[in-house]
Amino acid sequence: MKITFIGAGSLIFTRRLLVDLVRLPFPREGIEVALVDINERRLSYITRIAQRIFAENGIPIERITATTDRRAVLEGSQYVFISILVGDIEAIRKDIEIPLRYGVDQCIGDTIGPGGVFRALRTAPVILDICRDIAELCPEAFVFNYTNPMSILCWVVEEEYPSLRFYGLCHSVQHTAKQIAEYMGWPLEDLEYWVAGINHQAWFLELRLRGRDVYPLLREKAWDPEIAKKDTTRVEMLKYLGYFVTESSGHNSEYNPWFRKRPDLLQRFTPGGGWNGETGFILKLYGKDRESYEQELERVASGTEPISYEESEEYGMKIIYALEGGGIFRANINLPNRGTITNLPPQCIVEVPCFVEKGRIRPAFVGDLPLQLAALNRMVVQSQEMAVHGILEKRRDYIYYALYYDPLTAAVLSLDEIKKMVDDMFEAEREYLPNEWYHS
Amino acid sequence: MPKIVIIGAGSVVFAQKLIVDIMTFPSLRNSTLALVDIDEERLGIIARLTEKLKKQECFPISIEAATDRRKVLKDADYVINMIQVGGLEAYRLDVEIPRKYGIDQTVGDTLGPGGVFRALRTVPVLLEICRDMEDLCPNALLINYTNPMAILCWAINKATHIKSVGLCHSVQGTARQLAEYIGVKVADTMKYETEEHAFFYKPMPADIDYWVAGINHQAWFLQFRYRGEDAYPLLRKAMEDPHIYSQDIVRFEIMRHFGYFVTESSHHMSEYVPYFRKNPDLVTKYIPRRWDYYEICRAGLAPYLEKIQRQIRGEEPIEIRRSLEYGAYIINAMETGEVTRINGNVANTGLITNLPYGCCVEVPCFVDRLGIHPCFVGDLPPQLAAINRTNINVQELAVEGILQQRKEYIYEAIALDPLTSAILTLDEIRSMVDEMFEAEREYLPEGWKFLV
Repeated sequence: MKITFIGAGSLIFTRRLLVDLVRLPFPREGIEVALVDINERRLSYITRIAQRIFAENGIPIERITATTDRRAVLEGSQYVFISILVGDIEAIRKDIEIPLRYGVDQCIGDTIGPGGVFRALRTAPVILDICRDIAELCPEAFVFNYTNPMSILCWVVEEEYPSLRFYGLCHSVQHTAKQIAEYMGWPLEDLEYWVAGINHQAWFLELRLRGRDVYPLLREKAWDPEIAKKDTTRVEMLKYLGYFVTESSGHNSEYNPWFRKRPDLLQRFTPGGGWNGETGFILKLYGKDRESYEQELERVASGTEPISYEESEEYGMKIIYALEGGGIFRANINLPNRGTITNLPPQCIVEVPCFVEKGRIRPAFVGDLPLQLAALNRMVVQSQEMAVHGILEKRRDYIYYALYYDPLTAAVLSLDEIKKMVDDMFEAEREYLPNEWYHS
Repeated sequence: MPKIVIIGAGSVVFAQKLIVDIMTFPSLRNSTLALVDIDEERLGIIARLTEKLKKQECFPISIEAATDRRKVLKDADYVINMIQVGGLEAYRLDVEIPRKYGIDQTVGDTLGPGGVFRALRTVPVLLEICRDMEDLCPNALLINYTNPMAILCWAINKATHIKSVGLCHSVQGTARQLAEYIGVKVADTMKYETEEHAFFYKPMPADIDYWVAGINHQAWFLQFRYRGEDAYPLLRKAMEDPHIYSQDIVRFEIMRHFGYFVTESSHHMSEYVPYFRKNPDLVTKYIPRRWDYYEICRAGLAPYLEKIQRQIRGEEPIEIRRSLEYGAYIINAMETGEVTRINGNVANTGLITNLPYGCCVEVPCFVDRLGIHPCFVGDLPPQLAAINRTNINVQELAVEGILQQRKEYIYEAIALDPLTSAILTLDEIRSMVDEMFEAEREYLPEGWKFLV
């Protein structure tokens, strides 16, 4: 069983998955891991950490390959994880600051809106290159994408490489379940949930505690000011739309027109800042103190600090375990909507419960979402659709359209203002984008 | 500790099988089992047998028995239905009257005149059970084992608010037969008293994988794999072996001409299509060994009942062995979260896109603590959907005829039955249906008597 990590230098993420790998009862003798990153410094850290994890768990460290050239290791891979970042913090700064000058105030801005669309413009070409190599070297592999913007990237791949087994994974569903359990004082292991929608905007459709429907209790809790203070916009939507949504309140506030369009609303709906909706919070996330971070990595890699073997929230390794025949596992997975959610467009990327069994991922049938939820999903999906076609056909007009229809941008700007903002972003991000965008 | 109500538990052989299945799951051994049958004597037998099982194995189950289901339905979590309405006598009429007209049914409980009349008798009773459930245990899952499966489930979905799934063993049973045909065997030292016993208890090879969808008794092996590889080539090769071919002629012929293997036996399958039973020569050719289910039922339960009596007296142990039936697996999955995949009969809410919306389809479903989750199947290959639709036509008219008490639909249902329509003219069909209505008068609800 060969697992390849592309973008393995996403250190925390790769480390978590490797810990899950050694925690699960996989037959030890079959495990082989390839680590790929174009950043050699990052690659060397994660390689040392991986070697340490293997050594501490009785797996020969020769089973780890590290390379900056993915083509050298893709062949023979049964599983491929992709978690890459294209462009640096300066690109992200432009994603946030240019729109902000126009009054479009984003918190994370990596999956939707001007920031999300431009991140897609930077990232999709690289993802497609990786997919071309996968299609050539390991076409049967299960590919798990953890890179954002999730839906747009999965959709682009579906259009270009429909035969790949390409799935998008996120932890927002599990993480939200944990938060709900905490808010309500419920033991997480007794909580059962059924969640469907699109990535970062999936809906808790059912919530049961030991078999009992506990949604009414959660709806009551929405009026508790303590909860409303730390998870403001999700609680607000729970009050008015009736359902709890995945993703943090801050990120969620970018996915609709209601919370960020005026300074007074921003103040009211993002108390406490940070993940609850701070302006440009992503810059803080990426701009962490580099030096102390490297020191910490060095301590983990060199063995002076113990590795935490706590199970992660990530689905990735559990899915692989089920695919290898370790029993049926249910996970929320992003994939094309082939009849699964009947009131979302047939070609969009949905995040739905899937049952993973030996060698197969089987999406469950969801049917119609409640009308008000499908409507909000569709607002986001139509913007994604135009971004996808803009990217595939290199058409700038589609990129304008994608943002004309973005719920937050549209609530703040006029059409000509949006066009001007997009032009400014194209100009400022020239060095990160393929040349074809600048021919016309 | 779930409460499981078994309605029609006086079907002692089947009830015993399911009760033992339930008890093979440690998680379910503290269940409450409530046994219901309107036949007091039969109810007594299954109740004593269950008591004996409890004693023999020291299981902490609670056992209740009632002839009035309303006494035990309150707060039930699962209701398993296995009733037979009208008994052997009505069944005799279902088979014998059509036979006079040249319609030779081998089972006659699913489609055709026999199936439709069984539905006429059964739907009203089943809907009353559902009304009681809506009143006393509205959130319970109804697990239906009674035939005609598709018509009954369709009527439940259309006319009640009860969550239900219809179960059959033809999918998993056929999968194991197919494994045998292609020569995949499992080491098994068990001795089987009868062919039927072997069918229910022989182990399933672990490296067989299948994806089956369609309608009950006519679902299709869309994928059949051995060790991850498509096993259809092996199956087509197996068909060349006369010994194997002769065991399942009708289904191999269906595979030869339509490309896919179908669930349900060759006997049963031959009733659902026009090709195999329209004259005695064809029957001899395609179904050389007769297997008439009514005759088998008439031969009687005596040997089974004697065995059960010996078990009750403690002269023979009750064997604790799990059968291939899905029922207990479902309850275990919903109680423990140990996910299982079954084929279940559910409403077609967009699952099979080229069968009518709302009809009853048999599709792969996953079961976990939240319940039954059917899978999206998409389009069936067009030739398979076409055969299914000929059966669905009959089912739909039967369902509507029964729910609206509209007798014309019943004539039309049977006039559109593929086998009947291959043999009779429209006026002959009308006479046959009239004769059946007349003969079965006493088994039908008041409304139909008025219409007759």
